[in-house]
Amino acid sequence: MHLQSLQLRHFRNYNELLLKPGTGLNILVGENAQGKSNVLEAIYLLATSKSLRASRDSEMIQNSAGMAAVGAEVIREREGEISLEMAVLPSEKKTVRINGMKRARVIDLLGQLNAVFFGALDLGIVTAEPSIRRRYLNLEISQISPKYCFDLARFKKTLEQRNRLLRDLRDRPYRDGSLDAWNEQLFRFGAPLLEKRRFFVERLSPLAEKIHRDLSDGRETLEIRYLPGVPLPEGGDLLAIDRAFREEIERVGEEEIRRGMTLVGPQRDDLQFLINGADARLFGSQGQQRTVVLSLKLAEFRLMEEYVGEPPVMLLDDVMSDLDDLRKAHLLGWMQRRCQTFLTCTSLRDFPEEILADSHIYHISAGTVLPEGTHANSVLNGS
Amino acid sequence: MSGIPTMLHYAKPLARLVAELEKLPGIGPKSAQRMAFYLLRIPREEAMQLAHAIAEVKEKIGFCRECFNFTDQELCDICRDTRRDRSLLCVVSEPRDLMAMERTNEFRGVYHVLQGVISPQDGIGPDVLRIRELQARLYENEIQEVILATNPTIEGDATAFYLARLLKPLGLKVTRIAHGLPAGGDLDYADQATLVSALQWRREM
Repeated sequence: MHLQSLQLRHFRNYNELLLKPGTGLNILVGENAQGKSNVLEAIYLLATSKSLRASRDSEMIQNSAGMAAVGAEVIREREGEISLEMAVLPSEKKTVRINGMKRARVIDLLGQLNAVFFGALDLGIVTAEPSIRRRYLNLEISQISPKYCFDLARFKKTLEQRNRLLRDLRDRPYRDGSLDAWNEQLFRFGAPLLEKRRFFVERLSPLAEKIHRDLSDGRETLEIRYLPGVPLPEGGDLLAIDRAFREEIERVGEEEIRRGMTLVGPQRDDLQFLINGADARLFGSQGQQRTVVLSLKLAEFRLMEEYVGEPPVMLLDDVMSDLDDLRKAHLLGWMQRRCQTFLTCTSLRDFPEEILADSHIYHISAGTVLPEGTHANSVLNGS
Repeated sequence: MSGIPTMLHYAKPLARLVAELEKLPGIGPKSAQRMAFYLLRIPREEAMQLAHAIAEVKEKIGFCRECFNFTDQELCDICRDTRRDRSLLCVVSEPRDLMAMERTNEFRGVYHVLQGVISPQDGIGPDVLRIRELQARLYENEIQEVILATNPTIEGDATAFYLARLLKPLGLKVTRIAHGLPAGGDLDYADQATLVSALQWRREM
């Protein structure tokens, strides 16, 4: 799939932008803080309905503007052209239109456009705390399963309610019997999360292993392990997972009330990355950790491609400079495949001439796109 | 007093009115000001009609002793109606849900209004709701089926589950209203959450 056009209105530092990207490599080049990454953020927003970096969605609205809007014409192999539009309002509300029709829920956007994002901060997937890894799982699985996104939102809400109840039960030892009702909601929305995450990692791990072996010249074996917050039986379907979750909640029982919080469940999930059997977070060099993330992202690309039947859009945010020559070459090789890529960088030095000749290049400065030289193409800039 | 600075210039009674209006659901500072100025402008009798209506509703409207719907009598119209099927009881969380059911003209049973749903974060447990009263009705009356018609939200579902657990041992039929696609709806236009739930709750034909 690819974007035929991308339109931003009052989005971050863009007043108005219309981009007609190429179907191959699109390079966004410019100094720091000019708005290169904002373009990637906008595309990712259409894919996931979530911002990559904003803690509040209204941060994406240009200063003093009433609302921000992002739109794209997406071409998919089977479905043909789909137009997507998202508006972000100062009230933190987001509205979605698909083919011009307003949709009741933002999650309807999921699955319309698939994108893999890779940026410098993604190193945190290997090095940072477990919540970052869970966030990673959530973003990726949501893109291929809207039901996951639906269950996740309900699970989070259930967890908040249940934790509050457990705190109340701890502080006033009066039991009204409503904990069972919350347990039921916890299993109902939590068990599918455990199932989908396990499934996702089981599929992702062999793909990442193969890519990592290539990236490390065959010297390293990468294994990704899912560490569920509920001990799960080997194999087993959703029913078996549900049963294991119930048993575990039963087992921790009084302990949860004593501590006033939910102690088991997908909110405690984690991932582990093993290089030749050693935990990359603890024992990996920074170079190794970077390679793990790159393998992970490329594997994710493969998985998504397999899942949706065509390659997703690749978004690479300022990652070239962090990679050594071997990995750079590998990544460039990937991009020459049949997928549409948006890449940001501060200089074109890292790219061989034959790749540049094949690319669309956009020079970005202070929220505007300057067409330039032979690589310039149909850029309309309405500001 | 409200936090908008211009308020400081208002005469005290006007400021008080704005502050009171602001407490109403869905009314922000701006709407509250607009309403206050409107009330100042209209004839005195008209404004007094509103004041009177508010006073009257507070004086006369209470809860039905049977179902806890709003009423100005001891028993509400529905509970007094002898043509109603008393073997069928529909549990809703709010009076407005009861009104929605009534508008269908299809349901001929009686109701029970819980006056809320279980929500620990709002400090609402089962004992705050009219659940004891519901149990009392079930012991005394000829009710055979209880339909749980709380909203299909996390809290509504938890409340329904809690009630089902509580009521089933009494040997009653306990049912939950269906949720899924809207009638006359377009599959293509349905949101994904609704479609997922419609698929999950499909029935054999």
